[in-house]
Amino acid sequence: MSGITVVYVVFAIVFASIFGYIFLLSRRQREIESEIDDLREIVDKGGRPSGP
Amino acid sequence: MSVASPVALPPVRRIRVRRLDMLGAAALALLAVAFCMAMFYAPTELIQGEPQRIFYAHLPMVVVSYISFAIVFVASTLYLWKRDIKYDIVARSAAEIGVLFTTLVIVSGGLWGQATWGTFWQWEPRLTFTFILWLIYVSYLMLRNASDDQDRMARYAAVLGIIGFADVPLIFASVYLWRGIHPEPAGMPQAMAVTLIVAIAAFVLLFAYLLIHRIRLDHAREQLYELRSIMEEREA
Repeated sequence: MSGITVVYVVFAIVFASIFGYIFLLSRRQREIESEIDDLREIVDKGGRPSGP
Repeated sequence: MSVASPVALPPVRRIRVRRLDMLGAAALALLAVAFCMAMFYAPTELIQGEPQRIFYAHLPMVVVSYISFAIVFVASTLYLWKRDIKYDIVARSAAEIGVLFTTLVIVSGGLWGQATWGTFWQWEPRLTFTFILWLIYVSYLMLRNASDDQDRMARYAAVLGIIGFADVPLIFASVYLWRGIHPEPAGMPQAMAVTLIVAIAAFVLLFAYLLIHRIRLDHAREQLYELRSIMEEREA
């Protein structure tokens, strides 16, 4: 690998890892908040979850 | 599973999300500036040539990983003292981010070493202590999922988080105490120093964003567990 290529490879790995991590955090956050909203609605109604 | 729309969030949570997004955008913008400065503004180093530009990502990530593990140390100490779950959440969030950045430090350092020393890895003091640090905090994260007894695992992890931090001063001092191939810190031209300062600021801002994001996720997770236990009590 030439001198400048290795620099671009390192920056690409760093940026890809950071964006990947942010993406995973955001997706998990949305999933949990969605589940919280669903459960809170059921708890507020004093009912039980529907389905299996 | 359906994905919640931001519109469905309560107003207070929506404002906090917007502030967090602004912090993230500012961090990524500064990171882009730091990248451009590293590639086009900083002069080419005379001995190492172009690969020396990896330094502008490598060193800021070292700083961020040390900050992460310092936060794990303080939050773990506070958790053992106060037994408040909020300190445990801060510790495990910082540990996860610290492991991410330490992994990137090892990979970027290896590629830099391959380009300048002709080897990806050598068992020399600083590299070895950095690898040990990585192993300690990977173990810390694995320990958290080792049992269903979350309180016990949090206590054990806190002890490991405190003891593990002792490796950080060893990494710092290793280049002075033992002979190795890793260079000692040295002076640099002003353009290099300015680029380095901007890069460190960008990575520290990014770290703040990631840490807040990760803490929010764990708070939401705790809330979810609470709601699930209410549902289980009702079903019983």
